[in-house]
Amino acid sequence: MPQPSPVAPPRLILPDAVTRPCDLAVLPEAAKTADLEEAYVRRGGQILTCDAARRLAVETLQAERALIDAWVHSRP
Amino acid sequence: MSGGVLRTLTPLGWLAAFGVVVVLILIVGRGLGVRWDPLHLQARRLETVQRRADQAEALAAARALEAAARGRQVEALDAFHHHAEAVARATATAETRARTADDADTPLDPARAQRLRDHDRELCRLAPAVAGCAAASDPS
Repeated sequence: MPQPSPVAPPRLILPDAVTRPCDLAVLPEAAKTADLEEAYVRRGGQILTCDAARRLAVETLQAERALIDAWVHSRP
Repeated sequence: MSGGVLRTLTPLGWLAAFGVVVVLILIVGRGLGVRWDPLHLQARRLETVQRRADQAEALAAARALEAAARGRQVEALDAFHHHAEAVARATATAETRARTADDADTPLDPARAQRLRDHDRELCRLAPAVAGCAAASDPS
């Protein structure tokens, strides 16, 4: 088993866009029909954007793990 | 003659002669490749040098892998932003249509509006970190 190294392994930066909380459109007080329709379409867009951020975060994490594996296996 | 020289040596002379002999032995021994390192200092120095070289190599390898991955990261982030912009454009178009519809200003049935707002508040209670929840939790 390889010895623990004092050298920091490879790291990838998580973009700010994927660390921010997701957004949720809500109805205002005294809501009108347009408010309901706007909130509905806004929520759809927010789901897509948030899911894309989630996918990017997962891909970044998986890529970082692959780098660490490659680095560990490259060492004697 | 040599016996006479030895007999005339004082104790200090004997000490000096002994020292000269030891130094000569060390010089000759070194020349013949004999190494005397009872505390293994040489071995420790070599170990330290080797360890530093290994660490430098590991550091360089880690940074090289990061640099190679950076290009792919930039592409992925670029694609994410393009996607977000496309979603924002589609949403903005739909919002404009909602606002300009004939019944845009028709108030929602109060009971329906209340049910929807109650659900918004419950969602925000369950996930207060979600952006936009400040508006739902503030009844004013």
